[in-house]
Amino acid sequence: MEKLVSPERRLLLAAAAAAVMPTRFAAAQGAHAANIAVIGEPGVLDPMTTLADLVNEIDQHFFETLYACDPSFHVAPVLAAAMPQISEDGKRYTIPLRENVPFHDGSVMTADDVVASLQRWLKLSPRAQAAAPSVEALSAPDPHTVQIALKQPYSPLIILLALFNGASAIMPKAIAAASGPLEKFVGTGPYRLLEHVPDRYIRVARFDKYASPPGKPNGFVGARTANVDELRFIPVGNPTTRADGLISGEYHFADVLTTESYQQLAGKPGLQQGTMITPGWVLLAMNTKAGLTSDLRIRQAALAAAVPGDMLAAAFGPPSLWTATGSIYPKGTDYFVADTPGYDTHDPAKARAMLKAAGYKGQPFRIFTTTQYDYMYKAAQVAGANLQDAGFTVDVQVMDWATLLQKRNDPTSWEAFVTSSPIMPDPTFFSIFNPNYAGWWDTPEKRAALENFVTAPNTEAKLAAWRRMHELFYSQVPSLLIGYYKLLYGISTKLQDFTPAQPPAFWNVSLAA
Amino acid sequence: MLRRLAGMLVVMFLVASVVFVIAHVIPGDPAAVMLGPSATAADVAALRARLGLDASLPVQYLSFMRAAAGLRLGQSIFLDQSVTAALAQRAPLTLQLTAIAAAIAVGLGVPVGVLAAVRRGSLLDQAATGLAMTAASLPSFWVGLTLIEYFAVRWHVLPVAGYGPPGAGPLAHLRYLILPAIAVGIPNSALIVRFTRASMLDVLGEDYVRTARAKGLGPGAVIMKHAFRNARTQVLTVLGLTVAGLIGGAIVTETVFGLPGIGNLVVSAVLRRDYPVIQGALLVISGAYVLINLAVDLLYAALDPRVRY
Repeated sequence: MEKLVSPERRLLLAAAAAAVMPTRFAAAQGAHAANIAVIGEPGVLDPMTTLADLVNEIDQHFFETLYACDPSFHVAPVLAAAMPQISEDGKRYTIPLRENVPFHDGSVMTADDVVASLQRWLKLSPRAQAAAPSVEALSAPDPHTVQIALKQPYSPLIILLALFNGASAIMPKAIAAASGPLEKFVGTGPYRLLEHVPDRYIRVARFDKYASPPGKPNGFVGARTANVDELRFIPVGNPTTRADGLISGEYHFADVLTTESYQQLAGKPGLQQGTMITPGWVLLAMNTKAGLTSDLRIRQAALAAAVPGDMLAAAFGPPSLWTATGSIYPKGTDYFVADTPGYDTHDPAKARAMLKAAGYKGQPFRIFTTTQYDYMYKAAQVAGANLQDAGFTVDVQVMDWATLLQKRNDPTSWEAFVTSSPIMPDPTFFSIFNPNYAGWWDTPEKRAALENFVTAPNTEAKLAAWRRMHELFYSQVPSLLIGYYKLLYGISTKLQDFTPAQPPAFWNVSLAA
Repeated sequence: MLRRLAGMLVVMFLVASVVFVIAHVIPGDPAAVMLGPSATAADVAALRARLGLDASLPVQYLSFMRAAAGLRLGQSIFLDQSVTAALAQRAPLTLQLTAIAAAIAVGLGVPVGVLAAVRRGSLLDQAATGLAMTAASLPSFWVGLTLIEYFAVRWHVLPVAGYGPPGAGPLAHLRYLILPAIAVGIPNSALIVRFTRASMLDVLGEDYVRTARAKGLGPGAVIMKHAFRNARTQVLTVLGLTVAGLIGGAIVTETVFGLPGIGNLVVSAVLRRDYPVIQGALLVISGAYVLINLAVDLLYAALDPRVRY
């Protein structure tokens, strides 16, 4: 018997037994850490230079901004001590700062740090480029006050400072003022960056000296508490694998699920399906600059031909996961507009008449799409079928995402492409209103409406200017808004007190044993 | 031998040139991918300039070839590290995965192939041939997803994906490699079964095998000492191809299992158009192919005295 089980064999048997030991053992060992499966490797973590949602999701745990938004897009202070004092002419913003806010390197935040950070942001952030031409100077009249002087009023400024996307993250002056890529990730957040092993994980650990903003937590505003010792953001590119990992107990949170992977979780013990509070919308952007769709009548014909419900059903499945609504902002927000003339009329006869009036001769209506985002591909296929029913000759061109992003910059090569966006706290942050964004919507009426919105002296004037912009969106049809879809996630019941904000934040959550 | 080494250098030069051209000819822009869908052309142009991507292609080509000649592969556009560091960090995983998968493929393929040949026409032979055909037809991503569904999701025996928590030891890492190695190893073992069986059948019909049997040697000695010994050079050929194929197969498997190896790195780099990483990784993979071929040639000479270089 002794011979049969030699020491080598014993060792091998022990190794084999250890190798197949149930995975829950490993999970129990790391009970102080929450494992969050995210959609991929974020790459460079500079919060200012990228607009990628994944980078924002991770960075917001260790970097903070002066202000933040609640779920209704109302701004509240984070590193600022209060809302800014704005001069009567709207050209000078005085921002008081909270005192004794420590950075992760042990230094304490001063107005000089904030000025240097905002200067870096104005220089590097694609998001800040809308504001940069309006900014005359930044100054620090005292260690706890920052002043922003503007050349002309720019009403979205504060909400832009509150947006964590191409974010105005506050970091120590020595780091912010250094040239070249960001090498040290030192912020004021409830977590500090511990380790980034590309394609494996990003670890952030509780910052024990964290100074939280006051107030009841509400989305991204109010008090922040790091209850969990460590958060691990684990890149898992495949949504099915993210859902599988959640079911098996390896992950506590699976981000951005597809309809199929979301449905995998239904009825599984110890798990919950979830949707983010604010939806995203999906859009058929059209080329207003050149070719077929530079003719308004062709775009109006496309609007008449479209069946948003069919596109959304194909892209997102059951109706509980999408809403066919033509308002750019959802119900319940300040910018919701009920009047959306032409949306979801599904009138192929009207579309045909418009095509005839435009002298349409069967030129191809080229729609760019990608299979990398399944919903975009499916929505484009249905959009193509809708247009074909109304007499268009449709050419759906499928390519990878990187190719699409490049090819859409050539106005001679396409008529439309499918894209999506989260709901932004300010309408001017939507790319479709940027005249340089692919689609190139830039008419005198739109320019005037946008100018009125940006320089509006008060909320009433701002809302009136927004209603005009919305009206132009439907009369000039630069794009077809298809509708809203819910952003899906899965969560373990062990991860408690999660608020489904987008991008998901994990301060204030706690982890049950 | 010197001629072979010189040939290797020419192959690597051609591979480097082709890789550069392919990486840059395919449409797509790393700056656009980094900035995301809401960026404008001006935002993309500004980032391109910051990343040094606005230089002309010939200038970029010369700079890449000069650096590659000095074994410098440049800096990743997307990751916060050099290409060499990115590859070095991921290579151990891919090598381990390849080694385990090769062990499964050989450990299963050779004995089954030998047995099938020895028992030619028997039920065992038919079952082995049929299963080998089936296994060879299974795509590794499907095998991978099926293994995950049963071993990880339903039975909780092995982990779903990834490479273990921070600070995990070698044994913990091994657990994360079992399912992927099976997913790549099983389809590859089928090829080895078929080649081993065919080579053994050729050899078993030779006169010297009959002589060995006639002089009273036992079946074990005849099969292993006389027959398999002569069949193994052909098996070695397919083994070389299989190991090279396993490195390629790792690209799909690492993606399905979320393993941070070279295969996963290549897929991500292609999707992001991270040119230096695409170029560097493909060069290293091509180099591995060339070295495996060289090693197989040298092993021929070691195993068969008739072969001389």
